[in-house]
Amino acid sequence: MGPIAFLATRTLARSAARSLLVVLGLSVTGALLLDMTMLAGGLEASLGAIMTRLGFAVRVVPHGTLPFEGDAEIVDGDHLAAAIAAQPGVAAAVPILGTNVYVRRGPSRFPSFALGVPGGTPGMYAVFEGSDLPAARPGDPPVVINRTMAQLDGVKLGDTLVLSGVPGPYLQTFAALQPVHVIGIADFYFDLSGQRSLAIPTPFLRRLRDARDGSASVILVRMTQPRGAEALARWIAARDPRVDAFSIPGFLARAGRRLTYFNQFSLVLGTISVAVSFLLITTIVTLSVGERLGEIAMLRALGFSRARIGTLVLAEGIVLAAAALPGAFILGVAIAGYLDGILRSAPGVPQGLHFFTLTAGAVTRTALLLLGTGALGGVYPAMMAARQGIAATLHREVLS
Amino acid sequence: MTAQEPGAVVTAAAVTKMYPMPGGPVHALRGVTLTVERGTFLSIAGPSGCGKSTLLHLLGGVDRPTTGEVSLLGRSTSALGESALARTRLRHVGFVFQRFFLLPMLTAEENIALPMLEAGARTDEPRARVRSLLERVGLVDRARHRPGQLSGGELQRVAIARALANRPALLLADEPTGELDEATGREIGELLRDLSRDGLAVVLVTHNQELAALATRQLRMRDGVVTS
Repeated sequence: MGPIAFLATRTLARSAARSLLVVLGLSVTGALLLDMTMLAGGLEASLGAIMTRLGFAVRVVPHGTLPFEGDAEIVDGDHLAAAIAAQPGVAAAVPILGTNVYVRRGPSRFPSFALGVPGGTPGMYAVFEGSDLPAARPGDPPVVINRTMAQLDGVKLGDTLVLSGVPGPYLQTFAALQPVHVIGIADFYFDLSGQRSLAIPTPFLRRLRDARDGSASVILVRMTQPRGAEALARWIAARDPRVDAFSIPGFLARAGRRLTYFNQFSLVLGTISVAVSFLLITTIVTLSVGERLGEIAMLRALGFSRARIGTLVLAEGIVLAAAALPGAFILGVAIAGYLDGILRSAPGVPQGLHFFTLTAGAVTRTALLLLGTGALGGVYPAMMAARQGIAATLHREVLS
Repeated sequence: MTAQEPGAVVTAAAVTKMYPMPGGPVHALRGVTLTVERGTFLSIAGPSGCGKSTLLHLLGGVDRPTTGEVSLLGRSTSALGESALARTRLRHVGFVFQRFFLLPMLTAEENIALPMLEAGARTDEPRARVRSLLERVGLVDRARHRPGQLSGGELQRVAIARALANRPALLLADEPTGELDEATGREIGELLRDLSRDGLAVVLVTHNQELAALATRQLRMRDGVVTS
């Protein structure tokens, strides 16, 4: 440890109670700063993590939409998927249909979100009981239901359900009904809180919905070389202007544009927390410098240059900020967990998503911001300390 | 570099110092000329406000003359930049103050080591040097004590050891016994005299005639002028 860091640390330890109070205050403002940093990119980071885990490098959706947003369809999704699958570096292009259906189980009826998928499509859900949809199967089509349906409605493996595209017994008289056989229970990655979901082979869902053959809500593309995702997305968009194709970063950018209010919110509160930290550090370090003008003049007389004295005072601000970092992180993570729980319990929020995501980037940004604020907070007292005349100060100190 | 007598540590040539004040300028020094050689123990006495401390500050390079020139080890302090002057003070000048100005959060040995660390000394070097300095001022058993645990005389001894840390050529003491009793003040004066006998140039500013009498060369000042 050099003399500057050594002196700065000892100086703060000299007024231990005062320094501790400042560090506690900075821990609180630092916690808020961490939370706002986590919130600023939290949804995108969480979404990005899920998307990366699912393994699809490119998503193709009807132009101007996001996946499963409204009833928009890619009219000839199967053909487009086949064309994409033929491109180099593409391992699979999977057309998925998403829609709402109504489920009858004995006397009870309830709505559910349904995914029409080709058999054995990993990446939309994870089966934890039973088995996944097979490629083809005679008889009643199989379905995989989500945990919510199993828990709320008591649906078990082997149960038979009846699906319809319309609600209520009277309308269902005139609509297609599809008995299905439950073969698996799974966690669906993008379920909303309390949402019932099921996966069914695509042709059966098209029939229920009276949708055109080949239609799809989204095409998910798995690549052997994910680095080519951006180029493939451009190729798809150029081939068919009725669709938008996104690599994961491109998708996150579009989703991010719809979440700007989170960024604005975090920017405002983050700025307030930086400003409060700055004022706290400036005030306390200025007070501290004012109390030891004689000592500072002595250090100058001993041979500490103006720049070194300025650095020493700046270091005090930085040490205060650094001492607050552990508390800020512990408190920030705890508060973020609590706030995340509140926001995630709101309706319409997919279960796997988090608003506050603790990433290395968020931790680094917060640490740098807080340390930078510490340095900035030390600027005024550092200038005050460095500018004072040695002889005049020593003279004043002797007279006082 | 400026011309300087052989053996001279610091010279002041026709030095004046003027402070601009709202009621008109105050002339703290009016043309002081002075040379301090190695091994000299010089005392400067005089009434309050006569310019003793101002002269000391100019000799030590903590302030610059309004006119005239102060040369420290052959280099004019007016020609040196702020950081070069600070470096010169760090390596060649030791200061002892009336109020000691020891850092209260550091132990005696840490206070003494501070100038060495600032000068870039490695870890082992200060330790041995601090030990030797504590022996020199008779405070080996007080090495780990903080200033709050030391008497006035001990505080000033630690301050003297700190001033000697970087083996300076010039030691400047501004009323070093001002806050000490008579016996302790005399001990400090004798310590400064012994240091000058070891080859150090020592300049002592004091009101105390008995202390001033310990010096090998005595000056008196009045109204910014050396009178004898």
